Amino acid sequence: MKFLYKKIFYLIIGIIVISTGVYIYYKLPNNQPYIPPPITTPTNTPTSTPNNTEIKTYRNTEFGFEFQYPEDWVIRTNTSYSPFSKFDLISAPSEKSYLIYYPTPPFLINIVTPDFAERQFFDLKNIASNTTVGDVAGLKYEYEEQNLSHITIILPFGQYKIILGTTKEYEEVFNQILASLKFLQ
Amino acid sequence: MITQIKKNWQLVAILIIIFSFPTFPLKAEVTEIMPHGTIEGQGTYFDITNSEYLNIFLQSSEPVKIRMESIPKMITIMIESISSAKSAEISLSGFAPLTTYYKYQDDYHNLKEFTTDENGSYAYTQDLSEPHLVFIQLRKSTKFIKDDSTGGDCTSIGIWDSITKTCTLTQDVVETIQIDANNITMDGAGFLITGSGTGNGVFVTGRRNVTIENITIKSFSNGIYLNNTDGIIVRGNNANDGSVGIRLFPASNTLLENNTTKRNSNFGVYVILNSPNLTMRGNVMSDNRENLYLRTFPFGAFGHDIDTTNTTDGKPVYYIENKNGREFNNLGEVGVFFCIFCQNMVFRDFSIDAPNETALYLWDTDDSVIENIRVADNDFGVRFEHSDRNTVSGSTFEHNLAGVLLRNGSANNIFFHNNFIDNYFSHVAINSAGANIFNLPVPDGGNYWDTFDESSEGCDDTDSDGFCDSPYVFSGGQDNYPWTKQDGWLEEKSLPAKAALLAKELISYSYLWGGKGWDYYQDLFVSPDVIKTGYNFYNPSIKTIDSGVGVDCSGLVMWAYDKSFDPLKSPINNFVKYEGANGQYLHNTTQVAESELQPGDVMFFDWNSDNHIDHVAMYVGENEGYDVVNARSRELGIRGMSKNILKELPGFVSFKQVISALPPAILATTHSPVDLIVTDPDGFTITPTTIISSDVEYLHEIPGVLYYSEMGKGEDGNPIDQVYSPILKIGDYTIKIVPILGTSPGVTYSLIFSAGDKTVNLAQDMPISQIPTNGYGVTVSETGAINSFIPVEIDVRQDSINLKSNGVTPVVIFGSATFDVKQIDPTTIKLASADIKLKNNGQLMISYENINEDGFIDFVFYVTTKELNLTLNATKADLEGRLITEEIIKGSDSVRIVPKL
Repeated sequence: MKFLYKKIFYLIIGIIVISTGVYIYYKLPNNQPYIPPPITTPTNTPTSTPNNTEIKTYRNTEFGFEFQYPEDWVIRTNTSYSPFSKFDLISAPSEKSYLIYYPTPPFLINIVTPDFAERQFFDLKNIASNTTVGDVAGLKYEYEEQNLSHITIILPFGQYKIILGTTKEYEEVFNQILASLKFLQ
Repeated sequence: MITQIKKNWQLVAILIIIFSFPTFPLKAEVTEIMPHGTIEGQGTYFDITNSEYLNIFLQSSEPVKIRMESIPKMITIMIESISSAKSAEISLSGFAPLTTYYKYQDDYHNLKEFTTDENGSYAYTQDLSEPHLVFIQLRKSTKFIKDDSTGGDCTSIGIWDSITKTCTLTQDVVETIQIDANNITMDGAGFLITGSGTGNGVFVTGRRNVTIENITIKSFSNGIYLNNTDGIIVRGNNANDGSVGIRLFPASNTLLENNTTKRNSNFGVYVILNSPNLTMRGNVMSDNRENLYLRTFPFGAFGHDIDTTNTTDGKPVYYIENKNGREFNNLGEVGVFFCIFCQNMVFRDFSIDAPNETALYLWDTDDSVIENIRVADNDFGVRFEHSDRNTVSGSTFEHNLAGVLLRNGSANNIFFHNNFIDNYFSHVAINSAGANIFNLPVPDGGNYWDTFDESSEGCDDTDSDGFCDSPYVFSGGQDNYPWTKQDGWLEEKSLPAKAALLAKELISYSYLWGGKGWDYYQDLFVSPDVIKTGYNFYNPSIKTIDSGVGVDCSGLVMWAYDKSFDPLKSPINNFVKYEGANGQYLHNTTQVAESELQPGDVMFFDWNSDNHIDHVAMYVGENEGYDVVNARSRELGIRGMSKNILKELPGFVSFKQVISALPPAILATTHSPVDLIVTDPDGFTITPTTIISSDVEYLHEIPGVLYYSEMGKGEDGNPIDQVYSPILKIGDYTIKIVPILGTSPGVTYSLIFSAGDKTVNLAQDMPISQIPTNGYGVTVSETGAINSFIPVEIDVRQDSINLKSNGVTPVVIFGSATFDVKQIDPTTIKLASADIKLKNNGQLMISYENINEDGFIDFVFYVTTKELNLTLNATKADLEGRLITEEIIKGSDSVRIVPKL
């Protein structure tokens, strides 16, 4: 009988150890305070555009993409919190840097779960057109909302989707940025 | 607590094994949660580990199906083959060494005496050609009652009546009595059968229509043991101070009446296996470890008739079978409660704290409500088997082995606002159950778990919302909003706190322009889950019913507050009445300093500095990385942001606290396929297409003056159009009705106008074809009275008026398809207080002509210009009069007064 008690004792200890391990593995990451991914510092690559505006290159090694943008634009990443959004980048001319916090900034990248992209743009599927950015085929939406003319492009991005957005007012710069966008992986 | 754990540690251990390894690969498969000292299953070895008597280990050379019990001074083995083997070598160990035992097979006639070896083991060959009941006890000697001339051994202990087949005791007995024939009555006549703690007092196996009555039985493993019997009556007996008072194992169609079972170390009455149609009346079960153990249901045995004359520890037993829609409220203290095949029941306001195996047993019971019950000191508080969609709330599960047991596919049961305290195996034990729900959305949340209410247990409440920041996860389920305090839900949260909780629910979800969280078809503010999955709403930008997922910025505020305040109240009657951020800023909020911000307060923004608020976000208190919920845009969704960043933006206006808006000072409502055009006394006019240009927001309003809403659904399915204003103006309001394009002329509409607490019904079920050309009029007087009038179109037919002129001023009141000028009483007509001029013959200067050639007769009249009560600065002249039906008509036209001084 002592042997049986011992067996039960070791069995219980085993269960506790395994359960604790499984708990820590699956549970702990969800309980961690939100820590934004590391911001990739833009690499300064002085280059001249045809109209002689200096440009910079932003490279994100974590998600594997880079693009060029006007030197006088500011970039912020992960300034707000959303579990469905794995990474976001917002940008605006430096003299209007506050615009990056407005509902729709002049330029944004939002890497999201596919379900988010699907439900947010499901009702616009009839106006979607095909487009290609950085050799990746996606869908482009142009629509009026919030009293603004929006341009949004959604591309597949591995297990995620990448949302690229602007408003009509900044379409030209937006197109220049997209023309330079490269996916590194 | 420690005592309880010690008391039940063996059971706790076996439960851990059961729930951890339901299909343990080496041992016999465990298929049922067993009482102490019991194991059941199939295999080749079986190990009782939690007996209060002997922990017996059985090994078989052949696979067998076994139920083995080890209760004080008796081992019982039900054994049958599950292979083609006709016999098996059985090895038993765990007995006292070198001790003599008496092994009976099927009944007390088949005795085999054996002595264990020095290890306490014994081996024998077991017949498996048919199932057998084997019991092993320390003592032999049995009286057999038979249907013969002496009643078997009856005459050695009593009197045998061969006619009535009754054996009546005439002395106390110290042996087992086995009934060996059908239709026998064993009458104890008050005498005592005493055992030595082993064996059975009265044993009946395979017999029918036997009556056992008036016997006091003490100190047996089983006082009365019925095995494979039918129609047995057990009446007026006392079966005390043993292990089990009365055992049905199994027994069909049994009547237990007026028996007493007390102080048995296991069960008072123990009924399992296929024992259908048990009737119980007036039985007293008390001070047994468990008073009534009834588990025939897993064996398909139902049809019991057990009423509340039966008691456990003095409390009534409830047994309900095949009932629908009954309520059991305020029962006080209940002994034990069974509900079998029940639907739509209510169990409310009672307690069960007797030591039952299961306090409230639900078998195949669905869609019922368990509310405010207390279940304490049982093995299982509430057991769900095959039971779905029940709701358990407001209850306390305390000091049980498991507060709740969910088994056999039970699914979609909802648990919220319950206290789980000091349940020492598990608060909720789940085995072979479906998905169940352990919380509602906030602000209701989940349950209180005493093992998850401190930081060291994983429960932090950084935002002080009363919920642990992390879910409480347990095997088979999780509570996403565990309360930090017992009965925490009874502490009323402030409305802003509730709103902040709801707002946080939407973090990470969708932005929906025009979405306010009000479902058009359901007439309510939807739950957070529905916000996330989609609902129907009236989209004013496309003027039709739309569907979508999410809310917009002002919708976040409206939904969070109104859902918390009263989800069934329409927006205009709810806490936040204004759909847009601008209206909320003007009428639904009051200034608050940043230093006094509380969760639920809001931040307003005017991005383009045009004095129209464009955006609103809600402060929700410090969370992990954010303190503001910001419904931002389609691309970015609803996000958590930092107040300190947002307040520095150029468009930030102020922090404000949300307050209830006053009821509209005026309100025009139409329930029909029509739109409204409303003009107030100052000439402000709002139409279905009035839109204020604003960043972000869709503002259907004249800010601060008139607001247009189409969120609600009328009885006819069309939107309820409402125009309202926070300001009550003295003077004339006109309301024009515009039918929706394509509406059939026969369709009717209604129109109600309210000002303050006064209401006038302007139109009721009026056909669209009869919409008055000039609409409806309402005059609001300084006393607050409101009177309707008929607006008329007039034309003062002079380009300019010289008030010193000696002439007359011609005026036309135009007729229309809905206004017959012949109904005008000319004697009542006044233009700027001037009466219609009289001719020399004393007649009024009037005529009826079709002035504008529209096919309808117009009314032409003249007033003396000098009599016009107009100032030199006047720009319009008002007309007032009555119809011959006494209804008031009013109209006005622009005028130009010359010369000006």
